[in-house]
Amino acid sequence: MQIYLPIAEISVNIFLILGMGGAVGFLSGVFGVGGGFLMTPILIFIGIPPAVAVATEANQIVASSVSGVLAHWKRGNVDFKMGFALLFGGIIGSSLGVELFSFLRDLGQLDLVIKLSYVVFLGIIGILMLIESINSSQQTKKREPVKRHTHNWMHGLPFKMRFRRSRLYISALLPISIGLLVGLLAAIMGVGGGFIMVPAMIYLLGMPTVIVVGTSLFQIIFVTANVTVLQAVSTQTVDVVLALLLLAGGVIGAQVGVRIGARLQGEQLRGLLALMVLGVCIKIGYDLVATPIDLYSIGMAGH
Amino acid sequence: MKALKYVFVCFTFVITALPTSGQELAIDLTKNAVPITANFIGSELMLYGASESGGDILVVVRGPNKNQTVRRKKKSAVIWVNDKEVTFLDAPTYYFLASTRPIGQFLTGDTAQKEQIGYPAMALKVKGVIDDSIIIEDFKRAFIRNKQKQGLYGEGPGLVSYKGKHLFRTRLKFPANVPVGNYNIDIYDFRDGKIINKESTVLPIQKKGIEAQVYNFAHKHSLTYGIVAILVAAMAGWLASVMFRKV
Repeated sequence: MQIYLPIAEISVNIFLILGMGGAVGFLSGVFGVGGGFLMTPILIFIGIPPAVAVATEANQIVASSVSGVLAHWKRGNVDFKMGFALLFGGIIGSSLGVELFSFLRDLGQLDLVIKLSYVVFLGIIGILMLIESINSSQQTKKREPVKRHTHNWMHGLPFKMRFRRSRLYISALLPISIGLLVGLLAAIMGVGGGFIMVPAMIYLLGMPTVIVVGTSLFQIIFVTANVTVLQAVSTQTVDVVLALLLLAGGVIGAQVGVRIGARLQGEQLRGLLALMVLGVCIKIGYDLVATPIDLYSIGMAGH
Repeated sequence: MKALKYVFVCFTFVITALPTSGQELAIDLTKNAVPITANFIGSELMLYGASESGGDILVVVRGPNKNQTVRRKKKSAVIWVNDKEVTFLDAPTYYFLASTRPIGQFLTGDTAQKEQIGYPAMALKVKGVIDDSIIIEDFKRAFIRNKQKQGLYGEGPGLVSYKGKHLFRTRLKFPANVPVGNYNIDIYDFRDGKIINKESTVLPIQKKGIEAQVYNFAHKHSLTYGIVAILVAAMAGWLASVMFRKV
């Protein structure tokens, strides 16, 4: 059954979109990842204009983060003060990102920048995940605990603040800059940015792992909401019909994923996800390197 | 069966509409508008007509004009990057020619130029000043080639067929990616290489129903649209967590 998307202006198969939402939702349920970094490239593969894919995916992430954060909030695993510091940077970063997005679109280089960002970030993350899953499957349960509170240059920064829930006394500039970078990525790549933010919060800030996911989800809700509104205003590329279809599939997939993920072997799965991430990375990278069938293309006219 | 009946009614209409003297040309479409609704997968319609002369018929369909940019990729280090670009001002977003015979057989270059029929005669004005290294013709050919690939430009020599001496018909196809707007349809009646008659009609292709509402909302009240979009998403997320809480 086909449905015509009012903003993307193409006709797509409903079940394909629902299935994609379900599959990515399933993966995010199993692995506890947002899934934006898989969904946006897949949307582009099936022919959704990249600008629409990025803006619409931001809208969908609002939904999945809301449903994710509620569970963490109930257990008290959200550091709101830290969340607001991250968010402050996130709002600045994502607003800059949307500006940059429009600018690149007029220049005709938007698709390239989106694809390059994906190749770089998916490549790095895929390799890191693969290494980690190989290491940990070789020496199960013999890992040193992560060292917290190592004193270095970061502790010399001004504007120190106490983050009681995270048991940290650090410069507010740190979470703000992390938020800023993640906000920028959210706007350009159509991701929540959890895959960057979570490791940064653990290894850079030294936050306790329990509250990291809830706090990052809290930030992601508002940053992706900001991206959605700004994209809606400046580029009119948010397709609510597409977002709703992805949502419907994603919600169900995520719930199934959470239940199945609990019964599965973590390390092999993580390795599998790593391979998938690398697969998407290689596909996008290959398309950039391979000689195009036609060197010329028709694009949107610049202003 | 229904279609046949419709054809018959159409033909009767055309015949009765045909005046008794002069070199007349009359046409009609099986649809007077193409609505783009939620289940739109493209549209097809028939154009019927009657020509008293029974000469060569040429149908030209032009979609709304828009500025369109063609970009050429260049290899930079290892990746392909958009490099030079040319913007064509007010170029037709859709262009289709249907005729009884290949147009070269009955159309002279002068007429083609004057009426802007066929790709070589298409007036593609270039925006701004272009540097010397750009060959406009390459970009023009690439523009037409890409449009053909998208199914938005096309030619159908022999697609107009006569039923008997005076009645003709042709099929017009619009793919799912058809741009919205008013489509101008010109029908020419040729005799000995000269235009003896010309008829024109306008076919509106517009989003209808929910498609139109969403699109207009997104474009006219974009801030409200954005806020509604996040509220809907937040609601859906909350609903999902409530629904699955105790499953």
